[in-house]
Amino acid sequence: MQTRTLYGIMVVLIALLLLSSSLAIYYSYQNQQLASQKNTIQNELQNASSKYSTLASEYNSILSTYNGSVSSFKALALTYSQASASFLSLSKEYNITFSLLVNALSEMNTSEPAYTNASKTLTSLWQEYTTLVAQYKQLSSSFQEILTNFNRENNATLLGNIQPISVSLLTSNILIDFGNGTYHWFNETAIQPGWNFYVATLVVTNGNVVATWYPQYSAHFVTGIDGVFNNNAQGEYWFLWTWNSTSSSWQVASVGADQLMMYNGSIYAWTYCLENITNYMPECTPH
Amino acid sequence: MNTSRTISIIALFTSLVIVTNYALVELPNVKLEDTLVFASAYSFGLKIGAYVAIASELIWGILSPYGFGGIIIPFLVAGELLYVFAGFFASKLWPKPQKGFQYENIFFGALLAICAFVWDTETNIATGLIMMWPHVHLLGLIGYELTGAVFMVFHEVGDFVIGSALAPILILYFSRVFSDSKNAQRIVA
Repeated sequence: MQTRTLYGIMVVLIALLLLSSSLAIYYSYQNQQLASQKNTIQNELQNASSKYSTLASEYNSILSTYNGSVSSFKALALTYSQASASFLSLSKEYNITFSLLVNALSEMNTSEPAYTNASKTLTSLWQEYTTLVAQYKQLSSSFQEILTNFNRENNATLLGNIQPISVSLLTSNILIDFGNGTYHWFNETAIQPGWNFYVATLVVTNGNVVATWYPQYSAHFVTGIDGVFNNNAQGEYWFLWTWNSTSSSWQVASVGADQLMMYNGSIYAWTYCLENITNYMPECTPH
Repeated sequence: MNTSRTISIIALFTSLVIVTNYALVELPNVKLEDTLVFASAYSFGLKIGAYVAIASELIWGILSPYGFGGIIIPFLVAGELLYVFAGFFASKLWPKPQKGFQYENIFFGALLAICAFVWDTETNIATGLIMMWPHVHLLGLIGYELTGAVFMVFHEVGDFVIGSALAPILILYFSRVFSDSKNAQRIVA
């Protein structure tokens, strides 16, 4: 083989070697780039996985707290329902007791000692009941507010078996005018259905009513209220008035206090003043 | 003195280089410049080859569509001179081709591929030096070498193929135009 040819073959081999080296360098560089990218992606995936785990853990914690809140709230709602049921039961018993007591007072001889005790007991019992009603109303209002806020914040509806009890009482306005410029309005006085004005007067005066019971008329003749008594010598008596909403004026009652029934919004008055000896009508009007 | 002929040959080759460079601008690192410089050095000797290399690389470095080469131009010129030396030594080692296609043509292609490898290495290192100056370090230079690896492959393969196919044809053509190689080499000013 000629030297020139030998040199040529050597040159070709060297060229192939260098070409292979270039390809190897290129391949190695690409491989490094891909490995680096792979590591970067792996790190990012690990970070994402770690963040996901953290988020999932936080979510589970929040969900657990939420479930706990819902569970606690449901327990609260159950307690409220039970309290409401108890109140309803108690209210019924109160009403029954009041009815019995009122009926007894309406027909009891006023001279009997039991009458005096019963009239004072009625007032205190009624006050206890109205206080209980007010407390229940407050409880119910607070619970409704909690329920509303919970539903709003959790985008949920948890009304389920919760049935708030309506406990609105009837109210009436009573005026006692002592005729000497002293008078006392008992506005928005809580009353019970079935009461007459005599019973209502007993309640608002804490039993400080002196009356004579006439069983043949089934009526009481009131002779004194809060220590102010009828004065035959002066001709001063207690008179009973009703409010006429049509004419917006007071009218002398045509029936006795036992026949005047209380209703929601009723307005009655007692006045102590002189009696006209001619027509036996009062010579005054309530303030 | 055939100064005018020398200048016209240099101008001819230089213009061929610039035109073919522009024509192949879309193919990265694939140029006929290397083959033309090699063929000019093989056919007309070291001096003409050197003039062609310097002139073409200077013009290309200034008027390149890639933009002004700047401080890299001297390194490009020095790299191109490799092809001149390769062409000159090839003319001494291997006789001129008798046919356009013969198996010895791959010797030219192989030599051009070796020159391309050295050229790319030199220019990549020069780029690294320029970019990192004065905080030059070996790892950085290796990095620049690695990033240019893909272009290196294209350059070597391109020079090998074009050198194997075109260089013998150019050398054969010029030898016939100038009747014999001795006369062609006397053209050197």
